[in-house]
Amino acid sequence: MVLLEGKRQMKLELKGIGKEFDQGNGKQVSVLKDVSFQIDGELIVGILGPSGCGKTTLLRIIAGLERPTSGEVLLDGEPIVKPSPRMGMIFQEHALLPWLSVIENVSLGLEMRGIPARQRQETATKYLELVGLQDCASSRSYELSGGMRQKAAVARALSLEPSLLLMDEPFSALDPQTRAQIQADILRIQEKTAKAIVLVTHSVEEALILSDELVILSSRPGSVKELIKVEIERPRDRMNPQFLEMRETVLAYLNGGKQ
Amino acid sequence: MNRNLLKLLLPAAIILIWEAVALYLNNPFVLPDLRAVLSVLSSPTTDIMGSGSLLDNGKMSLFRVTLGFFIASCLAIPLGLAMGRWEAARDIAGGLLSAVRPIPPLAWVPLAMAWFKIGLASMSFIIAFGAFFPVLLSTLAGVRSVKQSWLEAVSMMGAGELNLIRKVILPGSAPEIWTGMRVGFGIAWMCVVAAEMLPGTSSGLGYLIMYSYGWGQTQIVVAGMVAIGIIGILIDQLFLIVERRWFSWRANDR
Repeated sequence: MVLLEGKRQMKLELKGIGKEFDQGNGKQVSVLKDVSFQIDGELIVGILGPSGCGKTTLLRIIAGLERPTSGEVLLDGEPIVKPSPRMGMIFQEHALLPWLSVIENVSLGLEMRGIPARQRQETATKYLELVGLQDCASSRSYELSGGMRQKAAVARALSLEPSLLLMDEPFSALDPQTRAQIQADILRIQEKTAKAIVLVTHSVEEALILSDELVILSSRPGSVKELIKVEIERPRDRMNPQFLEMRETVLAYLNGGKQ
Repeated sequence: MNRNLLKLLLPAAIILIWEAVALYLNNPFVLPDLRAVLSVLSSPTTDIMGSGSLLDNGKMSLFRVTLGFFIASCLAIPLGLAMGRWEAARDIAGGLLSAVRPIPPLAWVPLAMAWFKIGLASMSFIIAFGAFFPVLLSTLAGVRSVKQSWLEAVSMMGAGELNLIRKVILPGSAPEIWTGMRVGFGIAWMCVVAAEMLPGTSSGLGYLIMYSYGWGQTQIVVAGMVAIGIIGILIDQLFLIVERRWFSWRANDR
């Protein structure tokens, strides 16, 4: 299985992202304020922040699903103004189309790109194998467990070979065991496919298990409070003293302390 | 108790009472007995007093209703999709449609006759009116039931508006559209029979009923009504079979 073909360094830049919503009564509420950071290369970057700090909005702005009120997002130097297949998104809810089989879901993007049926089948099968769902190719999404659905969503996001994967609390609805397992899968997949990943999560542990770097946002309006490099050796052990210490540090930032 | 038996209980009781009353009255013009009705129903290909057989008239009605229903669907589904998807389309068409909706299809009969004369065109027009709104409203509801996350997931694949409609909105709202078509066909079926009862018509089950009534042949009237009921049930079942076969994901996805 060759997955690293045509791989190139990607660069994501966020420049002064601000977002205001109209509350409907003419009042503007500011959700994000002057968020800037950049991601160079195939890193996993976790975005953490208190609830309501606009982390999901930030991810949606990166995805091009929403437009920022100010600032811009650049992917390899090009501004993102609408959704782009150069990014794959994994939603909180799997968002698989229930009238299609798993493999049809995974190959839908390829179909719209005009890739011939046989090649679609091959590519889709390759990514289903990667996430371990080759035996469920013809199942419907509602026949799968929660964890399998998210895996199928991962395969779908990978099928168009994006350089960046965006994940919006993708494992929050899963039970802890499934969660730990799919986190391990993500790390394995990331290593094999060399994707950069931006992960929004509310779980400090999850962020520390997965991320190379952390972006910690302040409470509303969200702005970058701290950028942290997570330099714990992999595979990471939740009980490792270094891990626990890091966890304390991050929690302290999130709870408003530690300037 | 067996449920199928339970379902048959009420119809059986009604038939019994009917038969008892018919025997008591002994007036076939008011209430024909079961045997007379069954003898008409059991020979559906026999010509009835020069107005064609039960089967021929049934086919005629079915042809008319299918044509009108087809026209209604061709108009209502695209319009519903557009109104569901684009606010502007909703703003433009919404007001007029909600003003026209309360007008019963049969109230259009005089205008339909003035515009199209009596015949297939005017009947199709009335039938189309009957089927149009159920299909339109359920298409609208269907588009609204399409999850935002489906649209976003597919637009992340680089889909434009056309692909979103083709790959997400249309298949995603298909179960609701289908339900609307089922309801619409039921209404269309009622409209065709009513339209065929209008003076000047010379075929169809509605015509057959009125014609037989004029000759005092109540057993044919009842047989015609039964035929209308049976055809209605069969078509509804056909819709249900398709629904179960293709749209089972809807029930499972919730």
